[in-house]
Amino acid sequence: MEQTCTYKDLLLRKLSYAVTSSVFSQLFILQFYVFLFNTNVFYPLEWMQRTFRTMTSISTWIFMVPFLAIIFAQCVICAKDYVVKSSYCSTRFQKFLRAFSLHNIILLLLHIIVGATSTWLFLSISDGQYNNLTEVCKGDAYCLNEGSFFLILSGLWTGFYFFLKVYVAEKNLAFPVIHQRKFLQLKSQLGPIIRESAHLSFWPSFYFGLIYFIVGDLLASIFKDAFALLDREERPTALIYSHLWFFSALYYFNMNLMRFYFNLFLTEPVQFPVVNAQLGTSLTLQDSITNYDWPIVQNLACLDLHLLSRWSPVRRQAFFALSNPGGHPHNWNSLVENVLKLVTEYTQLLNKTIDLPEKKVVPPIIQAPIIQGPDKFRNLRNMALLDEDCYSYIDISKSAPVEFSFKPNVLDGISAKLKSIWNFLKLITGVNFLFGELPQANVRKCLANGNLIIWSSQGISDIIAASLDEDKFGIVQKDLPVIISSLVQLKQSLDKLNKVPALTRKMVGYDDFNYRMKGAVTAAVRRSLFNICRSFNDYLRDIPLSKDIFQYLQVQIICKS
Amino acid sequence: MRNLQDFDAPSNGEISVCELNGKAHSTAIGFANLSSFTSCIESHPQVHITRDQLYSTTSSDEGKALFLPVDVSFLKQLTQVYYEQGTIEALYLAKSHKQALVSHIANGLLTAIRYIEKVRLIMNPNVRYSGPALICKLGTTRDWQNSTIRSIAWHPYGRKLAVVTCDDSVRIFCSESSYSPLLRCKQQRNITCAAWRPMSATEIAVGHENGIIVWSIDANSLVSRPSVSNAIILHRLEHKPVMSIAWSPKGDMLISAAACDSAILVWNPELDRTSSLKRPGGCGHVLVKWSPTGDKIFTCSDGLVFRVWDHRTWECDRWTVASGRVQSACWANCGHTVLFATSTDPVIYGLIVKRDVIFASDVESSSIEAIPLFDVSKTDLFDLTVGGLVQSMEADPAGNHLAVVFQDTSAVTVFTIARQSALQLIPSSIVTGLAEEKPTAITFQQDLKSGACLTVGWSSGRIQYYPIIYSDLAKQPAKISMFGSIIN
Repeated sequence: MEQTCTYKDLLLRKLSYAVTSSVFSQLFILQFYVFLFNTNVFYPLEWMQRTFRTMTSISTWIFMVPFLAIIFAQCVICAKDYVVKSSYCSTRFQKFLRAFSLHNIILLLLHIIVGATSTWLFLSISDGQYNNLTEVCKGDAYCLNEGSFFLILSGLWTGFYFFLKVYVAEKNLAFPVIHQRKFLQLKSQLGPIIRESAHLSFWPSFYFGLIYFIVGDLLASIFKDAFALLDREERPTALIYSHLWFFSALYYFNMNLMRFYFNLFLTEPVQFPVVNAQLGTSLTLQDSITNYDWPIVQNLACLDLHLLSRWSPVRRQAFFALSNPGGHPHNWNSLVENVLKLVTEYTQLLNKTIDLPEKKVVPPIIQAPIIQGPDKFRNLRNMALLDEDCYSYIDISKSAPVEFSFKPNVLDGISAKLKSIWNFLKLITGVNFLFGELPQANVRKCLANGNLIIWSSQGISDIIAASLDEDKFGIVQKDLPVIISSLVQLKQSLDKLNKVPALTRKMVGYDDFNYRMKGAVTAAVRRSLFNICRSFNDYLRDIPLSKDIFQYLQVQIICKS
Repeated sequence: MRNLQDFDAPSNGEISVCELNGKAHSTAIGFANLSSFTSCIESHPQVHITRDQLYSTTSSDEGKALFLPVDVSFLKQLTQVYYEQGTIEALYLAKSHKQALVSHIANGLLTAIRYIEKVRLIMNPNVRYSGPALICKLGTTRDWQNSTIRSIAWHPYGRKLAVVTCDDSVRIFCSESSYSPLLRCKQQRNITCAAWRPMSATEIAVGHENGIIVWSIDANSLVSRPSVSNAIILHRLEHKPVMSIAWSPKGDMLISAAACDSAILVWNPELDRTSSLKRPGGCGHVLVKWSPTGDKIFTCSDGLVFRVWDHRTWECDRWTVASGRVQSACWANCGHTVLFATSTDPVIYGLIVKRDVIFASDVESSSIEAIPLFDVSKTDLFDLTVGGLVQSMEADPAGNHLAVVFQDTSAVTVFTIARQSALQLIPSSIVTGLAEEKPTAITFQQDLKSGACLTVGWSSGRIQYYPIIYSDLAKQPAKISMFGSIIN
């Protein structure tokens, strides 16, 4: 079903699903925990009753509502991170500033609070030995239950650790390889999430155990003094460390589940309308491809292009149709325009980054008028009669104007000297370190957007391949040379990435995201070109391509692939 | 149901060499000269891998038997064992040491390791892979463990042939080029299958015991052993041994089945990301086949269940066999039909796959039954025994011909697939090898315009081409294609 709505509707719908599922799954986990905690195999009826009683008691809900509210707040604030354009920090200073932004500080606080409250909630709804922070002892006085104190404190620590270690580092959405039903994705991911949570939460628990061992007594005494609590005689047993691990794992699981939901709902493919029904108002596939303001929409649009090119002859047909009235291929034109824009901008960004010495093309002083030879559109119906004589070529032979050059004077020398001193000073004082551009920041930025190129290049190549059978008017052919040329240029720029030392396997190892993405983008562009060459195999010589491009296709794509 | 009696066996002392316009031709063994019948496969690489061409596999301990044991100091012995066989063996050695303290510590460590392994097995039952015997039992290659040729794969566009041999390597043969690269590395052990990547001239995925390696062979370079550092190594702990792999027709996804993993993995090879297809039934999978049109995928488990997946929605249609498991299967009829045979029943079945229908429920699909098409029970044709339980079967890319290898008999039967009114298998010819030769792997060439070319790997290491040529197709003017000329 094609949806006609604005970006905001689309994103809000996806995000609201994610937030709601997060909150509800928290509720479910709690229920499940109570159910497990009350396990009583010999009296199943009592087991059920107790579970039911706990879950319906007012005290549980009084505890639960604030917790769910905090989870909700956390989800809503996190949601922003997923949809809003992430600005790439090119200097260390920027990175430093961004780490201490208000947004991050609020999130950090929320993570810490959620960590503590979830531990507290789980402890208090189960009738274990740690269900209360304080308890009556030695007559009338209140004592501190150190086990409970230890666990709640660990909740704070886990929240803090998780935020610093995991949340700050990974915020990009991972699109699944195949798009199955959401329930199936949940089912297949649940096991790995649990395993990963148990695995990853080991170290923070270990660190906390260590920290508490060192400063635990001090913290406990501060707390006791503040609330005038007494010491309890019985100390928690070593079993408490397993509780510690369990609650850290539970926290990790909750957070990972939340991230999973965001991933699940945001990466779900959307069908964008191909035809612009109401002018300018609704979102179309073509415009969304270059919508840099909402990266997730842009990603979804490219994904949709990829999927429709492969699966939907009906939707493909919209690109090969002519407008009525007028007979113009508006849909196709806007698609090509946007895809080419995406590809060329990507190529430019890459070229800017790689900083390889480029061949300098000296432009002639007066450019000759470009004359379109009859060859350029040989495949289109030829309106004019072909007559070689009607093209009169103008010979332009003007000598270059005389250039006056001054000898470098003293001033220039001084300024150069000053500049080098200034550069040296910047290096010495650490200005370069803080404000200088980070190496390969742009490459990283490029590669983070690699999916866009992967999908759009494959999408456009599949549409071109399908056009041989489906394109009745030969609309695609007029743009074939320019599409091939820009893909080849992109491929050439990508090839240069191999020379960037920070992206070689020796430097980063196989697990590096950038290294892998480089391979994926290169392979996708190569496959796209191969696909076009293969489907236009017999007509490849008829496409007016420049000699360089043609040679590149022959040598690098068809032969070498 | 028709049976193998309808076949005409080649007369005594003769072997079938080709099929021209529906007529099988055979000549005497000594005079087998294909070029007198057709010139279509003249440029195909001639492959005969003899035992002395094979590399020795490092895993065997044969060399050890040649040396007499000598007394070396315990520490030296321990170091040697640690380097050659790893930590566990070293611990076993330490356990047998005379000194009580050392043996006690080693024993304690071994017990701990055993318990950890047990816990791991409970957490993750897929880790229980026993060894190559399982591959031998479940695979489609006949006598996998002992045969020189384990698998053959034709390139989808060019005339390149990849031959998997029992020395854990893959040899690439090209027509018109004597240069044959060898793909071999230490991670690549017990290869089960290989598949060329579509939309690429140089990449090939090799499925082995522990995972998949996607090699890239640069046609412009003359390095005979491509380096594994340019290859992509795909590996998941619980996904082994990889039994079967298949590329999506556009070459962007790779799907793999493993005998000890209940999930089928769909890979994005470059990003090393997977999605898993998991449904109840069976604890491992042995076969995946992508339909030639690309919209359906056939998978079968090591139990009763087999499935047909829709590539677009990744929903599946569940089928069960009465007993045993699906031994081999292939797509025919432009992806409309699956032909399969089970491991207990000498019958070839056909299954018509619904198209353009959203798979609603299991109940609905199971109302249609697979049609038994051909009875392949063991039969004597003069002095030649053919038939029996099916080992493997392959159909040509156009879906007109079917070749079948049997578990006990050494003749390959070729059928023509007819689909006028109903699906039918028409006996066509019998391909036999030389004396004592058994077929181990079969495949069809992917891009032969003038018909089909069955390629049989025999147990002797010889590869035979059996062209099935239609002269009216062959006569069509060959377009001067830049593509074809360069790629070959």
